[in-house]
Amino acid sequence: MTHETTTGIDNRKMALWVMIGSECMLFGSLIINYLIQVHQIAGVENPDLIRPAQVINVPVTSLSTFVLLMSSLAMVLSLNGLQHGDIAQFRKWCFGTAGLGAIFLGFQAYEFTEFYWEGLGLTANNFGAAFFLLTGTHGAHVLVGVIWLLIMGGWSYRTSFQSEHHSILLEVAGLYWHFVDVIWIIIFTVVYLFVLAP
Amino acid sequence: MEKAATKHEKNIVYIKIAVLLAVITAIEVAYPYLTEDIKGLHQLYMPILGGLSAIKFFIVVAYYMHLKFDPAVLKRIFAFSLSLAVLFVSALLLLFEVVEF
Repeated sequence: MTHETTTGIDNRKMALWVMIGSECMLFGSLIINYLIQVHQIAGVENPDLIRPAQVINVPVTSLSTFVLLMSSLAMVLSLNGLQHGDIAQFRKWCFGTAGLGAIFLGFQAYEFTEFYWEGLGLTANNFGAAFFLLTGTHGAHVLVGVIWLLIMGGWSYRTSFQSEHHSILLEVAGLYWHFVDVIWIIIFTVVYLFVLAP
Repeated sequence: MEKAATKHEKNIVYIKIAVLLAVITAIEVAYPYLTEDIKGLHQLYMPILGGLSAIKFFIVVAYYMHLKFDPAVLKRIFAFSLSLAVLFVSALLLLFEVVEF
């Protein structure tokens, strides 16, 4: 299962880190797009224009941020269990991580619905478009992570599953999951907390 | 931490890191309300929040993503791409006058 490589690093792990590098650029461009759009509508005098401070709900998003942070803890506990051959710990926290990810997605669905009813759709204005593009792309990443972890957890019930062989696959899934978490740390600050700026 | 620690010891370290992350997040959320009447601190809102989120970012990358204990080549890949993204974002922030010198 594990192949010898010139770098001494598993190819899948190396590939994931390269992908994380490209994702830094992707999210960097989405974040800067959001900041530019918000900056530009700040100078527009139109009372009907929906602005971030009118719709952003910091308390609710703080709660969803906490959920995502705790999912990262669940992820490392799962990997730690598998690396030590503790399948029960692995399964419990792997499904726990997926569950917390699903809760985060639930918060996001709630937030999107609230915004929609307040009149901020994808095409309402540049702020709406940039907001949904950024947070929606992040949400899509979370969804991929949830599916990935459910597959990993389900896989462990097969007789061919061996902790020493499959821990590298969980490590790769974990790297992806933590990356999704660190991107949210930036999005939470830029999109939500900066709204409270004096 | 990586080599000698047992499963239980690692679990404890990870839980402590999670508590630290939760505390930093709580400070971030409470900061604007706590410093509302303190003029100097209130004006430093964005730099302080940016700094706190950067600390959280690097804690997760170093300890949860294990980059602190990984080979240098992975650190270089991440540092290069992150620097490129930061440079790109900074250039556009200045170009569109979102921030000014």
